[in-house]
Amino acid sequence: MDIKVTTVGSVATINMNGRFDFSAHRSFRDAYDSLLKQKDITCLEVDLANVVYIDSSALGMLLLLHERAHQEGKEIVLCRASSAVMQILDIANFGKLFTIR
Amino acid sequence: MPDKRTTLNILVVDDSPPDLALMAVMLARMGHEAVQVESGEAALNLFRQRMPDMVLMDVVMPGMGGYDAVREMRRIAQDEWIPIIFISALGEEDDILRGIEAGCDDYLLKPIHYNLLSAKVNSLHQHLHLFSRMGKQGQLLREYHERNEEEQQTAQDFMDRLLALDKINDPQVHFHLQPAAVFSGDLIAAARSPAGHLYAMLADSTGHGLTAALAVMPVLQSFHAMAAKGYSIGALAAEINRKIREYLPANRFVAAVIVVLDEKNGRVSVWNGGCPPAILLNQDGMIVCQFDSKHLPLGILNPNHFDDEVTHYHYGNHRCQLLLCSDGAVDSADGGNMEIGMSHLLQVARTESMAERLPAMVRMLERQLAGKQSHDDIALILVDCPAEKMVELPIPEQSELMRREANLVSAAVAREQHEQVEKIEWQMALTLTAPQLRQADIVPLLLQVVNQIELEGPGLSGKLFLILSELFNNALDHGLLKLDSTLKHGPEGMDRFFEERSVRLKQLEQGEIKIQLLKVSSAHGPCLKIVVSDTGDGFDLQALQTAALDASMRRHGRGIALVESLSSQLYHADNGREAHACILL
Repeated sequence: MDIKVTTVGSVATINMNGRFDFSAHRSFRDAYDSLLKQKDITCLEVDLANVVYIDSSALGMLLLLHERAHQEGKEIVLCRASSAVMQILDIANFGKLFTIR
Repeated sequence: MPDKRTTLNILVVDDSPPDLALMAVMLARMGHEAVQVESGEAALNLFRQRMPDMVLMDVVMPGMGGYDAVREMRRIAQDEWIPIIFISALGEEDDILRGIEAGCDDYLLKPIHYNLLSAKVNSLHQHLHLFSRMGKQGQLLREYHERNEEEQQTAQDFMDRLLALDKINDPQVHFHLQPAAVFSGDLIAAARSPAGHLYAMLADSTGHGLTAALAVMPVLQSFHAMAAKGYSIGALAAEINRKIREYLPANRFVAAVIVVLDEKNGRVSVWNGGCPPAILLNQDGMIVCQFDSKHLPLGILNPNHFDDEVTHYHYGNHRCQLLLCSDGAVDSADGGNMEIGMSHLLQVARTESMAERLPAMVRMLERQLAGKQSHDDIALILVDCPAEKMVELPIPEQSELMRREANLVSAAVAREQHEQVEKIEWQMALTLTAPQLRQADIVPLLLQVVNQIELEGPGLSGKLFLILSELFNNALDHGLLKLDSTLKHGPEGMDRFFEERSVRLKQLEQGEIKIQLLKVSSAHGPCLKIVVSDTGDGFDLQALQTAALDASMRRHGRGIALVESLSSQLYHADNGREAHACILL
């Protein structure tokens, strides 16, 4: 997966696309690792608009990100999920853990 | 294996000794070792004895020619690549083509020039080096692949054994479990509590292979250990959550739907974290109640934040069936769209009888997959929920009623009389105060008590447990929590009752319940006396007795009727604050 990261002010957006599953593991981690280290970034947005499929290992990766971000005192927002992806997030009740927009 | 700087062992074949000597000198200058032979036959003999790293071969020789010798060498060294260069005075296109057909890697013309030979040998040397490195990597990859296969197999065996331990043979539980090509950790389990409640669970762990199987173990163990002790499914979910968090890394979790069926009260309770909705279906396959996932999957939340809230539904005296499915099942029912997948499953439920639903659903999934392997495990459970068991209260004859009234009046007297002739062998008492009642799940505690007593007769432990839990619940619900049984009336009565119960229990500030067990030898032989008393307001004994006669009130007379049918004697004292039951041993 080709992941694009854009930063506006203190908010960094990670643009995911295609299938968000285990194959995205390394690139996703690489994308957020450096962002978590940047002091001036306080919020990480994971943009799911172009994600067509999400599986449980991707949910696991989001949890890992959530834990790491929590340690760094940063906020995580999941945004623009399609209805198919939203369904999965709903069933897993990720709304209780993440801000979903 | 040759690397870039190694000395190669090169077999040089030529029937002309001067050419042979010349090539040997040239090769020595390049730093290689030449083994010289003058015929094709001799070359093959040496080749068989000790495989060279490279061969320089003349074409025209007496006896076996170069082409035949090379063909034979290629046959002997099938699995290896040994570079062979023809060195010949025959320079026609046909000659070179024949040489290549025989299997050479290059063709040089005599007279031999040092620079050209050196360049060819070096280039083939490079290839040899690359080839050997690829071979090593290929070998590593093969080993890795085999190891991985073995681990996958271990995971599968491990899971099979775990699941075999869990042979589900409850006639009310029907299930289908179909693992994907790579095992991915769907799991189903069922068990009965001592009170006869039916627990069922469908769980789906993240990841594949061994990591998925690892998560399954603590889940299954906790499920069985806690169901056997009659813990609530909320407590059960909390425990599994704690275990997974403790043992597995942060990105591992288990989506699960855990249900318990209380047949006696016609009630199902569901905890759903991350699974497709559990659906209660009536006989016509219509949705009676849908239990959506209300929680995060297990293993994510810190135990302090874990939400053990359970959804209850009282289906009463209509036979139902509860459907649980993994997302693999819903997915396969319609390649990807959960809503449509679910509606396909429900469509099957509407067209089939209860007994035929599971096989029909499996057939539908097979049709949808059309021979393709599902990429996720498929798990389905259907739990039969028989209509609420109305304990048929024997309608006492008028004389019986009078006898009971007489009993009531004389209960205190009878008690005294009994105690005079009874000899107490041992006794134990347990007092539960408000804070304990608020926090602890008391039923497992009662079971521990029962297990410690080690009653010998068949079914006695079960009997004692039922009596204890019924009397305890009466003392708590009506004595301390002052719940009115009429709350249970009407279609939503049960839910209303349990809701009110949990609200009042949380607010319970004072009060005690005392449980006493006495083993006595009486005139009727050895017996066990059970006394449960509370510090509530008591109740009108007479009203209860008459109420039991009223058929419309049966919903709440059942507990007492059950205790009555199990014990040889049952009476209340202290204005209803004390219940005495007795079983003959």
